[in-house]
Order: sequence, then C-alpha cells, then structure tokens
Amino acid sequence: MPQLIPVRTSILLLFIHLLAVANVKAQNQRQLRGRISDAESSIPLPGVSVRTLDNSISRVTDAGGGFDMKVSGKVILIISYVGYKSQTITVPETDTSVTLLLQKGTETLNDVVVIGYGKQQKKDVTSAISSLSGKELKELPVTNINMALQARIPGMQVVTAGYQPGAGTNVRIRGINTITQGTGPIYVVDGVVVTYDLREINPNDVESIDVLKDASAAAIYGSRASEGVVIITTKKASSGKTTVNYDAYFGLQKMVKTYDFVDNINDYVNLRRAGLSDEDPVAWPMGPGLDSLLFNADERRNMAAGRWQNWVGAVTQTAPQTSHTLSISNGFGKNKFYLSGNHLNQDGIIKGSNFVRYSVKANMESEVSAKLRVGVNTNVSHIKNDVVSNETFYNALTISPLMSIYDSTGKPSANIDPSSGNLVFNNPVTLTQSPVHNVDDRFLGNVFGEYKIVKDLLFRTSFGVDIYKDQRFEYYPRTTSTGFGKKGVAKIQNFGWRDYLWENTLSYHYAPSARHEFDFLAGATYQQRRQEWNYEEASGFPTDDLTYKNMSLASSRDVIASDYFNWSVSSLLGRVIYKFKGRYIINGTMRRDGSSRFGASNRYGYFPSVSGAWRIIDEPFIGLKTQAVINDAKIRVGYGIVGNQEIPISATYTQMNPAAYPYNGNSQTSGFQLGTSTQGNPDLKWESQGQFNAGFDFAAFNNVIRITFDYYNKNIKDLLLNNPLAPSQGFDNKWINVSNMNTRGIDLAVKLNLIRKKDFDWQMDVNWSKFKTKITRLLPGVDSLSPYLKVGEAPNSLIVDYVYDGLYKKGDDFSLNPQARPGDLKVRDLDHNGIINQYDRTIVGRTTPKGWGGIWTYLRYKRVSMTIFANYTYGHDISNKAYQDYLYYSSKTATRTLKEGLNYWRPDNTDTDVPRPNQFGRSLRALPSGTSSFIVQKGDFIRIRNITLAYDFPPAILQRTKIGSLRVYAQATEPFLFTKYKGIDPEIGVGQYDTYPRYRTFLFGLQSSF
Amino acid sequence: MNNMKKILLPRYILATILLAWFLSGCNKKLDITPETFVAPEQLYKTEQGAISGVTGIYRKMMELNSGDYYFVGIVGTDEAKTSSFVPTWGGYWQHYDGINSYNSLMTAQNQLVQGVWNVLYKGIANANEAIRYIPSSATSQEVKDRLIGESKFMRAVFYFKLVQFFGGVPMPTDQEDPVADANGGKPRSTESEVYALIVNDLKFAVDHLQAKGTAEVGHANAEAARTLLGKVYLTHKDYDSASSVLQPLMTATTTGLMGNYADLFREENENNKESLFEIQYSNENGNTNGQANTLGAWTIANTYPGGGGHVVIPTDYYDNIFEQGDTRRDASIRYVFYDANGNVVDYSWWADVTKPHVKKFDITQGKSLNGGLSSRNLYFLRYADAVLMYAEALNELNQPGKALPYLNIIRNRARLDNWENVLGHTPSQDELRTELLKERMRELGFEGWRWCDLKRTGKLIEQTKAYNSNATANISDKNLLFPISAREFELNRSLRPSDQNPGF
Repeated sequence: MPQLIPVRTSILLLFIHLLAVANVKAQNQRQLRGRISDAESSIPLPGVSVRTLDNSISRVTDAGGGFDMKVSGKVILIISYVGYKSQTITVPETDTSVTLLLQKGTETLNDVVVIGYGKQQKKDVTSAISSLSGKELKELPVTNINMALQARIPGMQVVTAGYQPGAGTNVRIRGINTITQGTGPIYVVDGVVVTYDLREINPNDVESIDVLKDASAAAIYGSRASEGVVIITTKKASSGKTTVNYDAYFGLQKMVKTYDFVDNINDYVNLRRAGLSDEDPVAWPMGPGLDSLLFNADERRNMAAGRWQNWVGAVTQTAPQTSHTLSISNGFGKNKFYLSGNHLNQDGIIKGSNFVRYSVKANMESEVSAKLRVGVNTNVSHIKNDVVSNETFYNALTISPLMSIYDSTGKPSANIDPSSGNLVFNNPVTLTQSPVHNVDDRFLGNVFGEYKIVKDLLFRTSFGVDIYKDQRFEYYPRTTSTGFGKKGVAKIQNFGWRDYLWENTLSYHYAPSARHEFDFLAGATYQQRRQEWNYEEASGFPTDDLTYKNMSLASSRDVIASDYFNWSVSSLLGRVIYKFKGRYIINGTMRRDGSSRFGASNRYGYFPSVSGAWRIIDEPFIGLKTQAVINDAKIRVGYGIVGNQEIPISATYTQMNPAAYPYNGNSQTSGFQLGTSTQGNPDLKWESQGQFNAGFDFAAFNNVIRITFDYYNKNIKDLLLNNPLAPSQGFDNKWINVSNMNTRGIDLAVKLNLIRKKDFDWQMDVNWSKFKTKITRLLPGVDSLSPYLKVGEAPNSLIVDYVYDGLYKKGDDFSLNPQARPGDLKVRDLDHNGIINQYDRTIVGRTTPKGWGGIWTYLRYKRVSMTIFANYTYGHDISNKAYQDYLYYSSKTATRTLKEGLNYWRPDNTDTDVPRPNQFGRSLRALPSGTSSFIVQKGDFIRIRNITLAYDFPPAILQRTKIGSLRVYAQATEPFLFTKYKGIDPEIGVGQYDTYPRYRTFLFGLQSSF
Repeated sequence: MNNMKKILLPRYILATILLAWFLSGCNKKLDITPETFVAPEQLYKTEQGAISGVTGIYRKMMELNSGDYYFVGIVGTDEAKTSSFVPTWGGYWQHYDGINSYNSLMTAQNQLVQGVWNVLYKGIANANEAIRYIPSSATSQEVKDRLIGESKFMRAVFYFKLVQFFGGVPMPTDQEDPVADANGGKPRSTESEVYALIVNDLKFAVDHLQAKGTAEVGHANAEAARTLLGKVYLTHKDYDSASSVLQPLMTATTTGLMGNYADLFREENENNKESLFEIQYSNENGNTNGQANTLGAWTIANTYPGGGGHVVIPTDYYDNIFEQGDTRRDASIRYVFYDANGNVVDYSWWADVTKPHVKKFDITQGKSLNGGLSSRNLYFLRYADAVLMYAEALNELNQPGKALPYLNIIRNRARLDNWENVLGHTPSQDELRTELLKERMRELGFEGWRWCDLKRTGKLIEQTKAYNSNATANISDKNLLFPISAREFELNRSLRPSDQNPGF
C-alpha cells in the first residue's frame, strides 16, 4: 500500500473521498505541486503519469520527479508508473503540494493491459487476459521467454521440448484445440504477428506479456487465434530519464542422477550370465564358462582387471552458464530510445552441446510534431546452438560398462565387429565431438507512424518484418555408425522465411458525456510469408578433418532437395468498446480474414466476438461498509469465434509427381501421375472455434486476497482431419473438415498479500488450471478412426496397449502363450477368444494432465528477500518403455539394469514384478508389440522450479557511488522434483527414450542501474 | 462542433480512400499457387501437360504389371502355380500361396488381392483426372480426342480387370465426388453397369485412336481398342458384337502374325507387327519389371548369387499340352538356365529344378542389368489373341466351320498341321470350344489371360481342380470372384459387410 506523506489515509477514507468527489463543485483554482519518488530508495521518479480521476488533467513527472497542475477544490489523483503499483490519492481542498512514495509492485486495478491493437485498463477488461510483467519474467534466468511463462499464466501449459540447451517449448493455451498438430499460440511482438519459438528475444528486454486466452479477447486476431495469442511488448524508454542497467549472472549446471543402475562388476556379470543360462540351463549352465559367449575380448580384459567404465561420466560435465545484458534508456526531449545488448552462453551438461545468443534490441520513437509520432522497434539476434545426437546420452547409459571408452592410443574406441563389418556401437564420446551446428539469425521489427488527425482520432500505420534464417551443419566421421560405411557423411540445410506485415488502423475515442464513453477501432492488415528450404547431403570424404566445410570433396552426392512456398493473409478488423457509467462495459470485435491457404470458395472467414463486464464494486448499492472490506468485484462474460488456418500448405491441391514411361524401349518420356497419397480438397476451410468465457475478479481485505476465476467452454467445429479414403477413391487420404471437439475448463489465480510491513513482506500466488477435451464427432457415423482417435476422448492423448496381468507362475494356464515360461510377463485376453492379438489392446492411460498450476511465494525481511516457485501437474500417464528395458536384463534392449531389477523372478522368488532375465528378450514374448500397461506410470509431480535469495543494497550506501540500485542474488533452479515417475522427467517424458538428462543450476547474479 | 465537422470530413474521406486502396491491392495477393509441384488443373492446361498426364496413366499400367500383381490371374489356374517353396516362406509369401491354392489365406486381407485392387483404382483415378481436365486443354480437338481415347482405353483396361476379378465394383468416373468423399467411397455398381462403362470407353477409343503404325509406338491404338472391345463382348457373351468388332482385324494390313513364334519373345523384336498393346519397360532405374526374377530367369552377369526367384512355374498340364512339333513349346518352356556367356548354371540346390520353367521372360540375351530388373516389355494384347477370340466368337455363334480356319492360322504359324487333319474329322462346336481353350494356353501362356479365359468359358473351377494340385482341395464356386479388399470395407462406409462377395 502507498505511504502517503503528509496525508496518511486508510482505504476506508479513500472510498469516502471517492464518493464525495462526485458532489464537489467548481471552486477557485490553485496550483498543486508534487514530487514522486521510489519508496525504497527515495530516488525521484521521472516519467510517472499523474492524472485526475475525471481525466481532465494529466501530467508526466520531470527529471526530478516533480509535476504541477492547476486544480480546484478537492482532487483525486491517479498515479501510475510502469513497474510500480498504481496509486489513487485524495488531495484535500487546502493542500497545494503533495509528496508521494511509489512502491515497486506489479499488479493493481489501474494497470494497463495490452489487448490486440490497443490497450485497456485492467479494471475495464471484459475477457480472460493474463499478464506477466518484465520484472516477474526476470526472476527466472531462462533462455526462452516461454519457459518463464510456465505455470505463471493460468490456463497456459508450457512444456520444454527437452533439457538440451536451446531446446524449444510446446505451448498450449486452454487445452487441446486441434486434432492435427497445431503450432501453438501466435505471438505478437510489438504489433508484429509471428509464429515459432521466440528464443531470439532476450527476456530482459520484455516490458510485459499479455496472454489473450479466450476467444472474445483473441478474435481480433481471427483465423490464427484458435490456440490463443501471446502479446509481447518490449521495453521502451520512459520519458525524462536516462538509465543504464547492467544485469548479469553466472551459473553452474550439474546433472541429476538419472537411474540407479547395477554398478559393480560382479552383479553386472552375473545378470548377463543368468540371462543366457535362462534360455537353456543345460547347454549354458550358470557360471564363468559362459563369459566367452557373452563378452567380447575387450570386456573380458576389463572384467579381469576390474575396470568399470563410467560412460556417463565420460560424456557429461558440470557446465557453466553466463548472461550479460547492458541496456540504456534515454527519454529526454522529443526523442526516446531504448538500446540493449545481450550475450548468453550456456554449455550443456553433455559435452559438445551449447547455446550462445547475441541479441541487440533498439526501440526508438520521435515526436515529430504535436500530431505526428514515428518510431522503430527492432530485435536482431544471432544464435549458435550445438546439439548432440539423441543417441549420445542413451548410448552412454546403456553401453556395457565393461567396454573400453578409449582405445590404447587414447582415442574414443571404435571397435569393428568382425562378423558384420560394422561398428560395434556408436561411441557416445565420439558423438559429443560431432554435434549438429545450428546457426540462427533473426531480424524482427517494425517501423510505425501515428498521426493525430484530430483530437481523439488517431491513424496508425505499421510495417513489420520477420526475417529468419536457420542453417544446420552436420558431419559424421568414419568413427560414427552414420559415417562408417559411407566414409564420412555431411549434411547442410538452409531454412528461412521472410514475413512482412503492413497494418493500418484508425482509432477514435468518443465521450459525449460523463456517462457514455466509446472507443472505436477500424483497421486493415496484410501479411505475407515467403519460406524456403534447401538441403544437401554427401558422403565419401577423403578425410574427416574438413568436416562439412567443403562438400565438393565428397565422392557421392546423396541428396539435393529444396522447397518453397508463400502464404498471405489479408484482413479487415473493427472494435467498439462502450462504457456506461464506468461500470458497464461492452466490447464487440469483428475480423474478416482472407487466406491464400484455402480454395477460392472458402477463402474468407468472419470472426466476431462480444463480451461484457459489470463492475459490481462500483455500484451505488454497494455500501461503504462493504467497500471497506471488498476492494474489487467484477463479472466478465464473453463469446467469440476464432479460427485455425494451419493446414498443410497446398492441401487444397492434388499433387502430381513425375512419372516416366519408356515408350518404345529406351527413351524415357517424362510424364506426371497423381501423387498417390493425398487428394487435394479445394473446399477446405478454417477450423472454427466458438468459445464462451465467464469469470470474475474479486479482491478483499485491503487487497490481501485477490482472486481471478474463469470458466470456459469451447466448441471447435470443422476440425481438420486427414481422412483415410477407401482404396476405390484412388487416393490414400484427403484433408477434410468434419470433426467436432469440445473443451471446457477452469482457470483460477489467487494472489495473497499475507503480510505487508515495512520490514516484512509475504506474498503468495497460487494458480490452478484444469480442462477436459473430448472429440464429439469424427466422421458421420464413425466413432473411432483408430485405437488412438475416438469420440469421447481427447486426441493425441491415449495410451493403447495390452493389460498387464502379472508374471506367469508355475502351474498357470499357458494356453494363451504355449511358449511362455514362469517368470514371463502375462497380459489379459480381453475378448476371451483364446489368442492375444491387436484386439486385446485397450486404453491403459491418458497423457493429457487433469490439472496443473504454480505456486509462487515471496518473503522479504528488510532488504533480504527469498522467492520460491514451484509448479505441479497431475492426472496424466506416461508410457515409459525405457523403464521396462532397464528393469530386466535382455541384450535385445539395454544391457544395463536397475538395481531393483536384481529382484527378478526365480523359482524361489516369485513375489516380484521383474521378469526373469533372458538374453533374447523371451520373457516378453507374450506381448506382440513388446509393451503393455506394465510400463504405464503416473506422471504426477511437484517441481521446485527455483529458490532465489536476494539482497538489495540500501540507497544510503549506494549514494556514495554512482550506482542507482544494486541487487545481488543467488539462485538454485530445479533443485527438487517430487514424483513417483521412474523416468528422467514426468513433464517431457512421453514414452521417449532418454535423450538428455535433467540438471540443476546454481547461479549467482546481479541487477544494477546507474 | 460544426467547424469540427468541416475539418473532419475530408480527412475521414482521405483515410477511407487510403484504406480502400490498401485493401484492393491485397485481396489479389491471396491467389497463391504451389511452386514446387503441379496440380492437375494446372498440368492439363497445355497440350504438353495433357500429354504428360496421359503418360502418367501408362506409368500406372506399368506399375500394375511390374511386380507380383502381374500374377494375379496367372497363378491359381491350370496354367501356372507357385513353386513348392512358396508356402514354406511365410509372411508375405503366404499371400502368394493364397492366390494360387485358394486356401484359407485367400481372404479380404490377402495382400496381393488388396494390392491389385489398390493399384487398379490408382490407375482409374489418373485416367479420370485426364478425362476431366483434357477437354479444357489448350489444344486441338483432334489431339484432345486422341488423348481422351488413350485415357479411356486404359480406364477400360483397369475396370475390365476389376469386373472380372471382383464383379460389380465401386465405379468412380470423376475424382471430385463430394458424396463419395463424405461416405469414404462409392457403393458397388452392378456388373452390367461396369460393362456398360467399359464398352462406352472402348467404343470411344476405337473411334478416336490412331491406327497401328500411325499411333506412336507404345501408345494405345485403334486395333488394340478393337481387340479389347471384342474381348469384353466375348466375356459378356455378346458373340454377335464380338465377331463384328473383331472381324475388320482379320483383314487388317496394319497388323498380322509374326512368322516365327519364338521371335515374339526376343527383346529386339519388341513392339513388333503382331503386338497390339504391350507394357513398355526399359533398362533404366525405375522402368524395369521383376518378372524375369519371379519366373526364375538367371541373372546375366551373376551380380546377385542366388538371384532368380522361381516363385511361379508352369503346371505339368501346360508343359504337356503341346503336340509333337509345336514350336511354341521350346519358345515357352525350358529346364535349363544359362548365364550371359551361354554356360549352363547349376541350379540344383533350388526348388522344383526338375520342373518346367517359363522361358518367355528370359533376359539372358537382352539388355537388362540383372534378373531383378528386367527391361523386357510385357504383352497385353497381340494379334494372335484377336484371331483366337474371333474363332471363339464364331464358334459360339455355332459356326465351327467358319471358326476353324482361324485356329489353323495360329497352328500353322507354330508349324503344326491343320487341326482337322490331326483330329481326323471336322470338329464339332463342342470339340472346337475345348480345343480353343487349350490353344489359348499354348499360344498365350503366362501372358496374363488364363484365369479370365477359364472364367469366361465356365471352366475355372473344373480345370484348376484338375490340373493345379495346390488348388485341388480348396477351389470352389465362390472362387469365381476374389474377395474385395478388407481395407475398402474398413474405410468405405457405403459398403455393408453383406456387400462382400459370397463366401468371404
């Protein structure tokens, strides 16, 4: 809460004044002077917005934090400043000066929310929009903005695509929105609509992120908004203030132990012997006599010498991570600029992997005249990302620890199997030396001009570009299995796009009386993309030394390929916001999109929305007593239609492929035949999603508790589906829009300001989201297109497999599997027909979580603060094939076995779920596909994302230096994970083999301004 | 306020004009056509495109016959069977066994039966698109008619196979069919509806295709269309139409028999005088067929030790059906294998080595790289077939006397005496009918017609039972049709389970 000096007033008083102000009549004018400073450091704040409640006067503080204005009578001032809590104060009739301390903070009712093509005060918002400030974003030293949003925005699911540095994210807003693979939400960066991950943007440069979750908010983005819209606003210079900021951190990443494998030679060797002996105890009696069959010469040497090879240790490291950001913000005069540079370097815990980013952000604007303002926002970035093959860690985990990592000359071993003439294994150490080199360059920006035609009528034009270039270089030397036979394989890929977006809008604010207020917006936009891809692959290099750098050395050019496409979207949009008495707000939008992706008959789509809010708290009938307790109460209801245009490019066309025919012998005549797989469908149209949203905002007890709740129900129709066609149709499939789906869910955010004392602060944010998605129609009269796609279930979510029924015991009925033996996995014959076949598979798990959320808490004692952030997900299953492979010994899968696998089935140890070890994997022969519900595990988890301990230096000390503020912090990220899941990570492990281990980071950082 | 309006209006108008101009420019830019491939509607716009589209249909014909689908309609008859190894190989080969022996693997899931179904319909789809788009091509009516004639000829070939193998089938004639899309496919048409389409297509082809010799080599010609139409009438037991459509061929100067039967099967004699329509192959990657391998021909240069499949071999009945002195036996059957240098290759380790093997597809003297990649063309229709069909039509019209000379033409070319001299009397209609069926095997063995010949003459069950030992125990009346593909039933919601051919 604000500390008012000299006037200290309680919330109750404030409301009384608020009500009183309506009756104040014009009185004699007087000059009111004020000064605004930071509450903690007492440093004056320039650029703070100060306005009267009726909006008749507004000022911005000067460099010394001062302002003055002519007022009459008692006035109510609203003070707002980015990064600080907004404040409302009442200045009595007699006062001519006011001093105010602003407290750093994030969210209050007067905060501004960025909506599409405009801004709105949070209290007037009619739909479901969640926001995160740049300050909150900075709490986690993430390389990818999306990861900072994880579990912070109710209804938004962010899952990292992996732990390898530079890995992307998978983002889903409010459940599953499409049957086909969606591309996630669209991102609007300073007005430029972009797709794809935004790892090019330095999270430090972000002012705020606003997520348009429901259709009534997102419909202004029309045909691309069905998976939500994430609006990213980057930092601009504040007026009248020159600030230099320097933020940096240094961290060390350490691998988290992944599996508790058998780790001594004796147990390991015995397991392998037992596996062979199990197959035929007579021919292969248990004992060292089997070793010559089981182990190669190298393994036997190491066994005799007692040398246990630590493969994982050979490929992993404690890896450093550093980041530096220097920014200058200058807002004096009519020209403002914000300039920032970032260097980030993250080494991977697997050697060879690495992520480096250089980015420069420059935002400038200039007031050319009172009517004309022009500006430019740019972001230039360069990323180098070395990615090690997925095989690296898996091989290190699973290769026999008796095989030598290095040969006698100290090089990574590359043993050749005499029988096959190929490499015995792909040495992971070699793989770390030949990672894939990715180089990305992206330029993202726009130039804009705003012209005030008359007061309240503003024309804005903006031209944005997104130029992206991604290069990928790979070389596999002779010592890898890819390059072994082919004598070196090189691959080079170039991929990129050029987008441009031209937007023109007219906005008009019209307030005919104090009771009525209108905001009109009309606009037209056009966006076009040109995307290109080319690829070459060659092999047979005279030497491995030059890698991919001289492709002409290759003796064989294996692949040359390229692809090009364009798409464009042309749109008209409009919006009317009507506010009646400041407490009834109606918002109507309409967008018409035309997209080149669709045939001429379905090219245009209309995306309307309407939403309303009722600010109950402002109703006269709410008594003073109630207002003293309840600070906010608002109901929001909205409905909108949004679309999804993500069909495979050119799906409206049938493709013809080259088809030669040798008329009369040798002469090939070139011809064309229909591509056999997909028939073009010129009648394709957008997926259309109608979403209803209802929610309320509530705050009470001096804002100690603030609640935002939303319920949504969306019906998605005309879902795109790649429909398999009967062979008599002449094609294998055709994209059609006939399926329907329903998703409903709730998002809840609770913010608690539990303790607010001068020396002690305790805040807590808790959010919880859940949804249920069901396909309501697939094809007319068809309820199931495959075991994985069924009416009544969510798409891409089912685990379908055999039902585990324990291990076979002596005396069991073996008629289902006459070849099985005691100690083998048994599955159920669901249809009781006496055979195990594909019809005995059923739904044994669902990968879509029932709910998820985050818990964030902040504790401050004097200048020391601690932040703990945790996220949780529950109610999902994971098909963990790797666990089964590690649990029991079989050379068919992995020779490494978990310690718990030592408790395997034996005639004298039948009370176990671990199948008998068998060299040939025969203990699983009852499973036609090798898996069953045995491998399905619960994915529920709570993860502590980070714990941060920070100290803010007192201004008294800093005043002697030129440092304006200084904060140092120590942080542990991902320190704890609580789960029963037995794989590497319950959040990303969806039946995948182990490709990259999890790690913890301990880092130290500072944030300073000058 | 009034003042305000005066200032405002022109600016509003300006803004509106700006917006309107902006919009008008943008909507045109929504017409973006694919750059990296051609769609049929683009391809067929030009004459060159239309020609290459029709070439694509020929390619489909080629693909149909390149691999094992060629043998659906050859094995499982009195003429050909699978070698004794095939049933023991398991997996895919069991399906091969199924179409030969009509055992429990002759089901709707049989991969060969399903594969033939798929490939035929892919050919039909290509033909349908050509027939749909060629009329709007920028070319002369004459070229359009010729190209549509070729397309219709091939569509008739595909449907004729379908209707003989499966009976009435779903019959798309246009790929743009919203009703069929919604149901996943079309319902079965009746057999006579399918025959009506085939006859119409072939009549068009007879009228619009160029004559043999004028038509470019390898393309369908009027004589081929006429021969196929004759075969369709014959199959439909319309003997009047069959004889009248075939009759002009008997006096044609554009075609005729080769002097020496064995010359028909030399690679240098491809597209000869007697050939009416043959599937073209060449010695280039992707343009070859696997028949030399499947039929056990040895590889030329021994590139692949053990190459040569021996998957399909003649029945003893076929081997023994030749009269003494019939030159066709040596041209058709062999017991020894040679390499490129003419040395005998020892094949004794392989199955059925002592059994007869087919020689017609031999590549030892040809251009092919190896046995798996034969460049030999495959006959689809040749003049001898037309002659024998004309004889059959006349005989069925109860004119055995008129029919007999045409049988003798074929016999004489094989260096055999007139049949009545061998027989010792003028044959009756029945005798001639039986003899013609045998003669078709001697003349056209392994050229793809046996199953259909037997079915047409009502002898499929009897002959196969008698002379194909693998099928003896299994073949029954239901095998006059193949089962319709299981995948078709899975995805085509216009079909009810009861629409499956009886017994499957």
